[in-house]
Amino acid sequence: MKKLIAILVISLCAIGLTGMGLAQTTTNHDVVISVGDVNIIALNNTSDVTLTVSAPGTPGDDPVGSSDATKKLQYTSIVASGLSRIITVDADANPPAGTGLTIEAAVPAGMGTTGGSKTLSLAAGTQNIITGVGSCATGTGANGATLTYTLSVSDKTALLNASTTITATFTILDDA
Amino acid sequence: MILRVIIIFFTIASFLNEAQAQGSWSLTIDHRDLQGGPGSALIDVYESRDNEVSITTDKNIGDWTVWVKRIDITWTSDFRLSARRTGPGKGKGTVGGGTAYQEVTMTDEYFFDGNLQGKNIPVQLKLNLLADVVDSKIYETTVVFTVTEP
Repeated sequence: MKKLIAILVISLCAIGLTGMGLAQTTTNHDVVISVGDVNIIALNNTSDVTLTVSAPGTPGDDPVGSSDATKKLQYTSIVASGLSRIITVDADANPPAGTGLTIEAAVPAGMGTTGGSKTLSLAAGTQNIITGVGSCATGTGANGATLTYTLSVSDKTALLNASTTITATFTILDDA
Repeated sequence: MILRVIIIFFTIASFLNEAQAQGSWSLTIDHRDLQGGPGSALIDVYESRDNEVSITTDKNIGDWTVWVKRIDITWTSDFRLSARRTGPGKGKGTVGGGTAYQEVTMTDEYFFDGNLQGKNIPVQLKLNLLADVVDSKIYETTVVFTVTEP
């Protein structure tokens, strides 16, 4: 009988210890998120920009150029850590004789390391206009990198009464 | 001799408590997930199927509680992972709590509880993106469900 009681007591202790032991089990579930490269660019609109050389306000003064800052360059870039992209502008023609054409890109913070703004003399060929573009999104609508085109008179004696169409093409690509 | 058999029996019983979570949520984010066109940010909320995870507790337990946490492998603070229970499952006992999304953090947090065997209890996951974009990469974390008995 004593042996039976001892067995029961020890058994109950075993049950109690098991119950008080905060039995716990775990099970796992993986979550895998794959974020791919994104590389997409556009202008807020692709309507023409018209720049003119006008007669001066005062006879005898030099003709005056004009500027336009209505274009926004909008881009979303997703790259791997440590990598970046560049944005190039390609012009298919030179500005008219006697004029100079510049383009300035005012880049929002974090959208490239151009350094706030960069001005290029726009002539036929391809140039980098924004560099150091990491993973970023400029925003849409009124947001983006503001492009300012400025037409100036460089040689008034060479001016002609004519018009020239220059197509500017922007491309975002991996920085080699 | 009889004493040893009894003790071994209960020791084994405590080890037999098991829980299972089935499923693995794989999510691919790319240019199709932009909110708009160029310049726009990525969509900021992604949800799994409502039964992406299915949890089954051991059939030999009474009351139980499920805790949840995550163990990051490659993760970013720009992600916030949440989980919610979307149904009672097919067990014979009751299941309560956990029906609202709660963030899954690096430490065990109460998720839901119940009694008797919980069977195929469905769980849905949600990912919130806290930044406009994140670097391209494969991000991975392990969600750990821990079942405890009081």
